[in-house]
Amino acid sequence: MKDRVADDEPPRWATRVAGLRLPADRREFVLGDLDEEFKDRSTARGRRDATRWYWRQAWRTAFGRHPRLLGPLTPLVLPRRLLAMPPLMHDIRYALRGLRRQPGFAVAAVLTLALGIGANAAVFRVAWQVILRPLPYPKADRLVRVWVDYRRGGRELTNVVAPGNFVDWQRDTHAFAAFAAYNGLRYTMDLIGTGDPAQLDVRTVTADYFAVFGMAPLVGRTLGAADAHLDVSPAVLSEGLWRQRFGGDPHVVGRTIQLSGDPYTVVGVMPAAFGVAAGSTIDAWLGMAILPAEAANHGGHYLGIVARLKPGVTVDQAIADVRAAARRDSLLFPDSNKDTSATVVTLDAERGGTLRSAFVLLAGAAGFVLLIACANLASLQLARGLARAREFGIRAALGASRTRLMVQLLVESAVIAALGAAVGVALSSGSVGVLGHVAPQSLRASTAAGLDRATLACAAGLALLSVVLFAIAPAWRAASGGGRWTTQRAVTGDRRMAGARTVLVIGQLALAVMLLVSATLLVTSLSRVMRVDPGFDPSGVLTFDLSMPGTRYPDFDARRQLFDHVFRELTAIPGVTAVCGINAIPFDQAFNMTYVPEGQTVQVGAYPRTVTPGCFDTLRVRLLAGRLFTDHESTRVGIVTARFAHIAWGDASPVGRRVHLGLANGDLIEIVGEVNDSLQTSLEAQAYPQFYETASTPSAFRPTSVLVRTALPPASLFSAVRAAVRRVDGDQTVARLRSLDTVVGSSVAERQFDLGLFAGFAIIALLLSAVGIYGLFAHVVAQRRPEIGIRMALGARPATVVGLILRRAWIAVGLGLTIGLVGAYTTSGLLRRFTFQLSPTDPRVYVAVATTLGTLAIIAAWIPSRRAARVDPVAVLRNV
Amino acid sequence: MSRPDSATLTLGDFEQLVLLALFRLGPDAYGATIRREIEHRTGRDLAMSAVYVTIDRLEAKGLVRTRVGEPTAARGGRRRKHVMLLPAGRRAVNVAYRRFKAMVEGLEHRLDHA
Repeated sequence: MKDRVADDEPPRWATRVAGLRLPADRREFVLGDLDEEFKDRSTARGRRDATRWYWRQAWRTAFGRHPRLLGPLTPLVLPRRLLAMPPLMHDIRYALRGLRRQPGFAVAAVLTLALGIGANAAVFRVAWQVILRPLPYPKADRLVRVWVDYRRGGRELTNVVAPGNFVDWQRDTHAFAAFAAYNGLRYTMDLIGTGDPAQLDVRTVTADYFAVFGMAPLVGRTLGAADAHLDVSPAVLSEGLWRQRFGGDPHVVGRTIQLSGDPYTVVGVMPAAFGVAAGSTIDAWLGMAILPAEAANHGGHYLGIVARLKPGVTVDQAIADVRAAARRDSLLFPDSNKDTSATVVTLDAERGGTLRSAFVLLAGAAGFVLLIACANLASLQLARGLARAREFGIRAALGASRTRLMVQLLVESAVIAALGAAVGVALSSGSVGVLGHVAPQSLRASTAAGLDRATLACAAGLALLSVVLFAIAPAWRAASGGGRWTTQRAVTGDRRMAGARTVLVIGQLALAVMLLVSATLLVTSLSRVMRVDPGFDPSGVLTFDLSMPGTRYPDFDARRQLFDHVFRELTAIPGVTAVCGINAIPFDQAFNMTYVPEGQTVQVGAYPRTVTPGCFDTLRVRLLAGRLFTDHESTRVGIVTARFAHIAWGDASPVGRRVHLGLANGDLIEIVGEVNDSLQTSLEAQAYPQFYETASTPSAFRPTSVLVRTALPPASLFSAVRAAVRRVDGDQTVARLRSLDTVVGSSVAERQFDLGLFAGFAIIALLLSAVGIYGLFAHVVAQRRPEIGIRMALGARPATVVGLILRRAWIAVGLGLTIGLVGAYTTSGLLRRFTFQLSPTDPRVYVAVATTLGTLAIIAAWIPSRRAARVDPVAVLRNV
Repeated sequence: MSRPDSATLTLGDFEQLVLLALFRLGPDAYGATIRREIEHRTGRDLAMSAVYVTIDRLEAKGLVRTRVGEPTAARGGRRRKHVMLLPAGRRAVNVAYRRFKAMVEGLEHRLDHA
């Protein structure tokens, strides 16, 4: 309680509190005395002591020794009073005893809360790992990424950087303490000579890369500028690889290893945490020098840039700095850099990427689940308070103060909340583990088993919050009403109580509607995404990568021979119908090349695909014009997709025309055919142009992946495929063997993951609401038994009586649905970026949800209402 | 209002404490000094307002008289209410003291070691 006052004045708010209840004729003197004594105390014992004393005086002046004004909060703000009570342990034991006596209530309450807290803990846990947890690097807030930034069709897009730009920007900028690049393309090498051959994910980085992150190695050293002069290239290993392959041997430093036939010296090992932003799947980091030829390349984008801001430099200043450098490049290299600019994003802001907005949504949904759970519990507690009225009445009569009863009820609720939180955390661990199977790569690590302290703290906080939400009001009511209820023989029941519970049910229904509308929009969107025709047929196709180390397959002919042999072995496997080689498979990696049609200035961006002739068959891509590749092409020929042809030549046929590879001075390639468009990165994107080159002649990109179409399930052929490759070359690795369906499916993994959680929450919400409605009407019927009995004795028919109860249900459900639908409609904008070919305000979704939930709600009310019809008037009248 | 007979008048526990404090403080007695005197001697943490409630009661019983002083800066420009012991008050404390002393006589040893 800090008040800003002149020195030696008593706290102004405390004076106000003290004045609250002072009679006017005494006010001046009491306040004057307090003021005077405050100043004396302040001089003698210091201001802190005086302030505390003054507040205590003010408090007691206003509320006396038995404060009533604060009501239920009293025990929280006046610890002195708490100390005067029996020890807390006593209350906890009493609460546990009470819960044991009513196991039904205990289980229901704990499970309800566990669902609410578990949902939130699950979301928090994943969000903590992916975005919230501080990055493990020193001064991580200074770390940034630099992107190329350009406009296309009115949209701001970012891209990785061309080596020429990297070299220029590194030289021309001043905002950065360290500025480094890494090869953004996936790059694998074979580790041979230490156990079985293995394919490693390798990242090549420029000299400053490790200086940017500033993390100390686990063993040895990192890479640096001096490494350029070494005879044998240095390599830094990941902790994972080091432990797996080298048994965590600290003497690994200095050892020479063979990567794809070339020797490398191990100089150090980076801790696992390094991978958080430097590549969690990377096994080894190798040095990369940008050769003069590449330094002139301003058009081929493949470098990722990380940098560390100089102390005191803001992100905005850094943006201005790189933009100035980019502007110089756009003037010097108008061919390739005409419209490109650059931007800087902090590593922290970029974490989680597209998942960030999904987390906001998921956290909202989980919050709703907790609110619904708390509403159910509050309702249960209200009902229970009524049932325990006799107990409280007796205890009040025996001298228990209201505060005492309140504290005990709150302790009981806290015990329930603590148990609920424990079960909830266990549930969330389990569910996150299950979700791990559909989690996208970016989330895998976060779904690993094990608990972190942050999640536990979050669960504890939620437990406390839920006590506030579900316990305080019912406890206040129960503790204050004790005396009245025992003396009152209710005929009509406590209607105010039923009213409060009805409001809770309406709120629950509204929240459930909002969740269900969102979940339905997401489910519908996902099913629409999955129905998108990608333009090729991934089912029944399996794929893997061949490594082909340079020492053993040094030239085009050697590689071609290997392919021929492997194809022959694969074709011999029963069930295999087509085989081909390709440089990059769809939905795995896509990078962009520029092509210029002969005699034109227009540049066409397209994905380059170098394929053996069988690929069109294997992928079931259709020929639209011209011809496909043959086994023996004598010159470099190309095939374009319909979109490419349209951009380059409009409606005219592309067959027979020629295209410059790269810029206008690049090699000329003749187009022999046109095929249909196919999606290459995401089912939700527009088809992007592709340029197919034949693998029969040497080309810029060589095939390294193999596609196999089979009539059998792809997974059943995995071992046969491995054996076939081994028969050709025992040292050849078969990496990333999987079905093409899996590859395409992983592009929707993020969507599935979000949906999995979201749909789970929606179902929990639905069930909890149904339970809440059931509970309310079971209670209403029980409460109105005497009334119903009298009505029936006077001639009311069972159906009329049920209708009487249900009328109330109709009103509550109608209100809940209406509020929920309005809420869902007004917040639907949040879902816009998650829906696919579907408006977030599509009325069909709203009608479907309202119908489903309405029906369910009425059924949940109707089941207990039937009991009203079975009330025996004779039995009731005897008891009235 | 008839003046109550000081011999039969009974004083509350807290009223006795306030009267004794007035005895000690003489002309310096007012809310803050009374409160501090009692707190200082008995260790009882008192609310200021409680002192005033008691003074009002003692004044109604005709045992003390109050007088409003001048405003001072030390009190934020508020006035003081001085309290003076009346002869009846003096007698009442005396009676209470004698009764207490009579009851205590011969028990001092045991009370001090209780």
